[in-house]
Amino acid sequence: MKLIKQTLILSSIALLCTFASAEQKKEYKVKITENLSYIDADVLGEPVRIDRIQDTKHRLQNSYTKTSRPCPPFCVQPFEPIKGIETYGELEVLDFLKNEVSNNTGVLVDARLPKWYKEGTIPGAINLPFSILNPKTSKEYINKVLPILGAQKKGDKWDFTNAQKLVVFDNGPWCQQGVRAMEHLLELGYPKDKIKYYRGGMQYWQILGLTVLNSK
Amino acid sequence: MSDKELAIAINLAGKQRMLTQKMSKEALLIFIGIDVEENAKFLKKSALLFDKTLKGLIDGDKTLNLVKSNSKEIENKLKEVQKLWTPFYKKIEDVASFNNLSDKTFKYIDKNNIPLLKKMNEAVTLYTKLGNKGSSKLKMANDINLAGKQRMLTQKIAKDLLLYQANINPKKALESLNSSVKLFDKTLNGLYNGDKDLKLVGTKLPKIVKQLDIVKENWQSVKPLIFKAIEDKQNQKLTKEVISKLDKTKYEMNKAVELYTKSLNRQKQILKLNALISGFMTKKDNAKHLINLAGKQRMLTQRVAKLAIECKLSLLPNSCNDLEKYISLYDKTLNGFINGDTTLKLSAIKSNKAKEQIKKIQKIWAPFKDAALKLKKSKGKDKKALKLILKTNEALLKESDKLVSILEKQNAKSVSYIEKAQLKIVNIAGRERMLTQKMTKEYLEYLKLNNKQAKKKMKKSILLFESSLDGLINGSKDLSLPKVTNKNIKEQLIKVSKLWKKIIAIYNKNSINTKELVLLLKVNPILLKEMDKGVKIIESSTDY
Repeated sequence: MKLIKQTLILSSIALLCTFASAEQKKEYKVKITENLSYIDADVLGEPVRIDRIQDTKHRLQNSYTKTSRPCPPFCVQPFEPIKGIETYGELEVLDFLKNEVSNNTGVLVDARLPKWYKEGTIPGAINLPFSILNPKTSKEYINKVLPILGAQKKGDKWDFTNAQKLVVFDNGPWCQQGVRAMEHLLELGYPKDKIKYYRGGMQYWQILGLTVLNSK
Repeated sequence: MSDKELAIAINLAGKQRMLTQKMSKEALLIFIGIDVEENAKFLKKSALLFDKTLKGLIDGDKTLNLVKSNSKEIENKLKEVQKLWTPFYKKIEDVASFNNLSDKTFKYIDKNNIPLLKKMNEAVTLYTKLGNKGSSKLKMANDINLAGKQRMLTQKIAKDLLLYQANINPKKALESLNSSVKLFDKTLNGLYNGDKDLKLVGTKLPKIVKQLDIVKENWQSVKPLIFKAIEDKQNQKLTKEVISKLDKTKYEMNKAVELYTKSLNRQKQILKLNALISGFMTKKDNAKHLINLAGKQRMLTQRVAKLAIECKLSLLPNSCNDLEKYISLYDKTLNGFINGDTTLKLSAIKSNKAKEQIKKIQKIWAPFKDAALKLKKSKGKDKKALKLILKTNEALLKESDKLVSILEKQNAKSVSYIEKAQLKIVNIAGRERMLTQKMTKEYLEYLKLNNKQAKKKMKKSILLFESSLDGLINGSKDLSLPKVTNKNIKEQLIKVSKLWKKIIAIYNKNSINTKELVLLLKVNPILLKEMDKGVKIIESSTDY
C-alpha cells in the first residue's frame, strides 16, 4: 500500500513537471522551416520574436490582399531588377538578421516612406526612405546618412570599405521604392556586392504570417 | 571621431580600468612567488598594453584603431592619467624585470593602483558621455558601463586576495575584497533584472542573457573558492585555481560586453537615422503644408465672395461677421507667405518667382479686402463694395491658383514617383473644396443678383465637382484617378457624396424659396468641412 502511494505521488510529480515544461516551451504548429520555429531580433535593446501566426485559418485583411494596383507605376518587378544585385527570400533575410545584423556588419533597410514603415515593418529593420538617398535632391542628407552606414568621405569620393552590407526591401514585387533606393545607392558608389534585395517585401512577409512590428 | 572610432575608444578605455588591477594582481603573484617567470611575462605584456593604449588614446594609434579625441576635457583627463601612470609604470617595470621586489615596491603598487583606476574611470565616463550625446533614449547605456566594470572587478578581487595573502594592509584588502564580491553579485543580478541603485535596466535579449548565464556559472564556481583561499593563505595551488577561474570569468564577461556594445551601437545607428529622416520629412511636410495653405487660399476667394452675397441678402445671421473672419484668414495667410507665421507653421517663401506672384495677388487683394470690410461695416448695404468683390473674385482665384502651380512645380524636383501619384489625388480633392464655394457663389449671383452668366458658370462648376467626386470614389480614366479602396477615405468621400445629394436638387432649380436657400447655405459649409477632412485623410494615408 505504501509502495503504491509512493508510486502515485512520484507519477503525479512527473506529470506536473511535464505540463510545466510544455507551458514554458511554446508548441509550434506552424514553423518557419522544419528545424526553425523562430528567431529573436534586437529592436532598440528589446527582444522581438519573429515567428509565424499559428492560426491556420488566418487571412490577411489589409491592402496586401490587393491583386491589381495600377501599372504604371506599380508594375511587377523582374526577379533581379538590377543585374548583379542578388535577390533574397525570407530565409535569407532571417539568416541576415541572425548574423550580419546581430554583428552590426549588416543593416536590414526598409526603403519605404516613413508612413508605410510606421504601419508595420520587419522587426530589426531600419527605415531609410529611398527619397533621402536621391543624389540629385538630398546631398545634404546623403553626407550624413552614408557615414552612419560605415562609409567614409575621402575628398570628393566615398570609401565603402567599412560600409555595412544592406538588404533592401519595400512593399513587394510591385513596389518601386526598394529598387529606387538601390539605384540611388549604386549612383553614390555603394558596392553592388554589399547590396541585396528582398523582393517579396512586406506583402510576402505578411502572407507567410511572419511577425510585423507596428510602431504607430 | 566617427561612431566606430568612439566605440573602440570607449571599449579600450574601459579595458584600461581592468588592466590597472590585472597588473597589480600579476605583480603580487610575483611577490608571493606564484609562477614568477610566467607572471613577469604577463606583467610586462599588460604594462606595455596599458602604456600603448594610453598613448593611443592621447595621440591616436592606427594599430589599435584609435583616433585622438577632439575633446579638450578628455585630453586633459588622459594627461592626468599619464601623470599617475608614469611613476606607477616605473615600479611595474622594476617588478617585471625583478629589479626591485622590496616590500616598499609592493606597498607603492597597493597605494597607487586605486587612484590610477579611479582616474581612468573618470576618462571612461567622459568618453561614454560623448558617445551617448543626444541619445537619452539609449537602452542599456549604463548596463554596458557596469558590465565593463565587472571585468575590472574580477582582477580587483584577485589583487585584493593576493594583498591579503601577502600581508600588505590585510584588513583593508579583505574589506575591499568583500565589497567587490558583493558588488559583482549585485551588478550581475542587476544586469539580468535591472537595479535602481545601480541604474541598471536589465536585459531580456537572449544572446546577452545566455552569455550572462555563462558568466554566472563561472562566478558561482569561483566564489566559494575565494573564501576558501582566504582561510587557506598558504595554499598556492588553490590561489592559482582562484586566479585562473577569475580570469575565465573576466574572459566571459568581456564577451558579454561585446554583445552589449553591439546592441548599443545598433540603437545609436537607428536613433541617428531616425533623427535625420525626421528632419528630412519635416522639410517635405513643410513644403506640402505650404501648398495646402495656398490651395485653401483659392477656396477662400470664393468663400468670401459667397459670404459677401449672403451678407448683402441678410440670409443668415452670421454671414457679415464670417465675411470679416475669412478676409482676416486670407490676409494672415498671405502675410505668412511673405514674412513667415509661426501660428500657421509657415516660413517666409524664398523663391523669387513665388514672391513675384504674391505681389500680383496683393495688387488684386488690397482693394478686394477693402471692399469686403466696407461691405461688412455697412451690413451688406454698400453696393459699390459688393460690385468690386463680384468683379474681381475670379481674377483673385486665378492668381491664387497660379501661386499653387508655382509652389507645386518648385516642389516637384524632390517629389518621388509615389508622392506624385498621391499629390494628383490631393490636388483634385483640394479643388473640390474650392468648388463647393464657387458653385454656391455662382448660384446666389444667378438667383439673387440677376446674373444670367453665373448660371452657366455654376453648371460648369457643378459638373466638375460631381465628375471629380465620382472619379475620386470610383476611379476615372480621364482624371487618371484610381478607384478608392482605403476604407477610411472611401467612408469620408461617401459622406461628402451623401451631403451633396441632399442639396444638388436645389442647385438645379431656377427659383427656390427661402427655406431651401437657408438649407443650402447651412449645408454648404458642412460640405466644405467634410471635403477638407477627406483631403486630410488622403494626405495622411499610405494607400488610396
